[in-house]
Amino acid sequence: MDCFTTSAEGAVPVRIVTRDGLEAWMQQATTAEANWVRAHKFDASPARHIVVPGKDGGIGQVLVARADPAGPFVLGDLQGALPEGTVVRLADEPGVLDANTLAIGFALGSYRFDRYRKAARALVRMVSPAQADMARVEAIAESIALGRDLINTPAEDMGPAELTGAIDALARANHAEVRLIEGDDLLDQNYPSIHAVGRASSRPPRLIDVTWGNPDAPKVTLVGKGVCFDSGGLDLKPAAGMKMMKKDMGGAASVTALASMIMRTGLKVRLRLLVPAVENSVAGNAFRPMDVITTRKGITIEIGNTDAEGRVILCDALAEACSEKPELLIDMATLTGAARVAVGSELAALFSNDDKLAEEVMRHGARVEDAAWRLPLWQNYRSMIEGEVGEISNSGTGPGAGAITAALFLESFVDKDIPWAHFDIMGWNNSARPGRPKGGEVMAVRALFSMLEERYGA
Amino acid sequence: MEHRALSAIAFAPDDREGVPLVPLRPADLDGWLDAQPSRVAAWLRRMGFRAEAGSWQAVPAVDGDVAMVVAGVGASPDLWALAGLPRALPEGLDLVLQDGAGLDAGQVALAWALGCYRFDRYRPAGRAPARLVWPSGADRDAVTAMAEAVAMARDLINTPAEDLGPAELAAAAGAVARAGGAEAVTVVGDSLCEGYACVHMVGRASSRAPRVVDFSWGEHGAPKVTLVGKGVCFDTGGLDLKTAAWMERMKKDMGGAACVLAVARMVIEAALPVNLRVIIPAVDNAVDGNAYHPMDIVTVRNGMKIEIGDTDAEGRVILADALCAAAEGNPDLLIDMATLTGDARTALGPDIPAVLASSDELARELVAAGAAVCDPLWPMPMWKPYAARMASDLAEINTIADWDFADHIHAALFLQRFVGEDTAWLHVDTGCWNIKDKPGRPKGGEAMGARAVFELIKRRYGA
Repeated sequence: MDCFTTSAEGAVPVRIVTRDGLEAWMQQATTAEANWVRAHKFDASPARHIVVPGKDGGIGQVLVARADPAGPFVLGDLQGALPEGTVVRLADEPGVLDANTLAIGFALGSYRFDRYRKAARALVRMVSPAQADMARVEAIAESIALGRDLINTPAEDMGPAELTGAIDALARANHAEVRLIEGDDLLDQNYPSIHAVGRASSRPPRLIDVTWGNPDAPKVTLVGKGVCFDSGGLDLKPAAGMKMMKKDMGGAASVTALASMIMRTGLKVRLRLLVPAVENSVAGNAFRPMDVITTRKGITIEIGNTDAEGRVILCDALAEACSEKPELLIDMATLTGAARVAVGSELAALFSNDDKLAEEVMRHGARVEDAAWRLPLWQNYRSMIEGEVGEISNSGTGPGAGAITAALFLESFVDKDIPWAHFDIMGWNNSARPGRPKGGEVMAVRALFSMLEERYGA
Repeated sequence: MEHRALSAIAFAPDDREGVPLVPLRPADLDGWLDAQPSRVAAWLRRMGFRAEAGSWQAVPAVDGDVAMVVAGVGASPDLWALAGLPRALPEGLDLVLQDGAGLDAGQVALAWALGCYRFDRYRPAGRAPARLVWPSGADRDAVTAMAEAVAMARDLINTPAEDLGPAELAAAAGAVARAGGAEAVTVVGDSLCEGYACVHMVGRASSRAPRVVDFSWGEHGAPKVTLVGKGVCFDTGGLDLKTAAWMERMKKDMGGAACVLAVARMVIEAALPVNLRVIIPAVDNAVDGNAYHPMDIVTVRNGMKIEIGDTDAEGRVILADALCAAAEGNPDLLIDMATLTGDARTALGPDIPAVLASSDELARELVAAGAAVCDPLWPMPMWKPYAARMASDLAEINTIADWDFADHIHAALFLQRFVGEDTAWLHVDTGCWNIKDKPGRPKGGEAMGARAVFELIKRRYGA
């Protein structure tokens, strides 16, 4: 990755300190260094840093404060904190801090989306830490960058063909098998819901189906919502609600990033990745409110609102996913505004039919600061999604509970005995945080990878 | 508040010879039918009775009387399994519960009583409920106490704002205190300016003076449990006036106060070994020339200055003072209940109050207690990073956040500033309204979360 270098010459040492560590550093610092730090009232409160001058007018070193215990984003702000082009190196053995984690945090904070305009400044680069497994660091950081790129790319350049094309390229690079179903073939192969949602676009709907790994290994299946642009369909969104809808394939981008990590780090699983990719458009042949679709599973669904299209395309993919009884089924989707109201945009809303799985996800999310919060699959609210003509409606009558009713809808297409986790995510950083620049974001992916690595790591 | 005791209308005298009431699960139905006289089995099969939850069927005697009633309770009956029957079965019918379906007599009796509730202050209830002969094994005092406490809360919530202002709500609190041999202290109107400036500021625009009711009950040395309830008797939104659709139900905005009064009644009647304290700030959030304004800054009881982001986020403002007062007493457990945010309803729907707490463990403890008594709640995160979104330009904190998400989390983070980090504290953001009739829970005011809170207190401190 561009933000790493192997040439240590002239690299500025970066020292990570706690409040206590700062005291010790002050003891051995030169008078000039100590005075400088005191003059700036640098007290090592978390997320602060200070650039300490060298003797010759250069940068002597950088002190970065960390919380105790340290999170994964200690160096997540370093990229923007230093003059452009600076090369840094970790000053000490990382000790209690893990070099891999520090490097990944730095790389994630170094991400920028420069496809359409040149970056304004040269990258700050870090000397690859000797203790870090750089192949692993890059596998994880590049997977997340891929997901962010997919989300950040404007809909014009990221339609169903481009999204599935990106997944296809990833699959081929990792020697996975790919099956791609496009346009009216979706009808022939019984994916009527994906077709119905996507048929109004000039860019035909698609389903990409990737399998990878030892066929005898535990089956882990990922499903991601790939709505490349969501106009809302005939139930057209107002401008404010439509503006960000290039990000409505954020679930697909997230599971793609996760699949990339799984394949590149070689987890001992048989991976399957299913992404229905569509554009929810308006045209003469657009699907309509109160249409009824007979889904792949045979359940009839009534379209209460064409803007609740995500669950419609997901239902066929989930039904297919269940056909081979995976050991773990995960779907991710930028599904409801109600989930954002429920937990804000920085947390993923999690639903699961399996208490242990939900606890495992939340535990890993807290550990790697990629948190998910569980909401209930509250069965009493099933009455909110009863159809009038079809069996289930795709829009809840409310009041409230929009994320819950969407999850209940999806649950109808998941076999009860398959451990399943559904993530309703924002897919976007509304504001920058350390390691997480404003813009497209794959949420809950680091949490899930941490969980999968614990379960299926080498 | 005058109303006929639920136990008086729900239960038949012990010497009544009632009709047998047979609860049945679907799995038990065929076996049970096979043991019945053939005409009974034939009748029930002919009528398509399948023991589904909420279904019932009367069985005729030879003379045309009702010989028995069979009631379906579904595969896994809960508290409410038979609660729809009092209003569904014919008026005048008295029933005797038969063993079966693993139902608990006390639960059946409680659910029966709650299913008899109607709010009849302004028009007669229409019909009398079918009555149940007290099932043997039910603790009559405990059932009666709990049913009456819930009915009181429903009555308070259902009563129109015109007839339930701050004075009437304070009087109801005083009555609960007196029934326990305690005396409430009420601070009214301008006297609030010393110590309850927030309550005064929110409530001053109403022609009905704001007040704070405060009472304590129980032994001094016992564990101190303090309850705080939001008592906004009507919430117009203030200068940030609500639209008609959102204002319509705002008589229920004292639901938190009604809930804590119900809990207090349950604690007192059960004589739990606790030192109970109840604090209720009671106001109208009204519009007037002297109404408080957006961007006003007010000093809370603990000295912290807060900036008003929206006059319709008034509940957290009056609770700030009340929670400070509560925390001054160093309670072992502090619980507040409030109809606080629409976002909690958007997140969890109308049936599930949100719980936010000083620790995840404490929140889970309340959720577990609620699940045990069929009074469901769900934990939501005290997500500290969101606190930055409530920064104020001029004061220490704003009452609202700078985005449209997770207001229930922001409200809880705001309230914790006045509780302090060290206090074991539970915050229940509750809707207090059944949006439609459900067995035992008629449409209208509901003490959502109150039985759960009582169960938690009982589990922690009960003898």
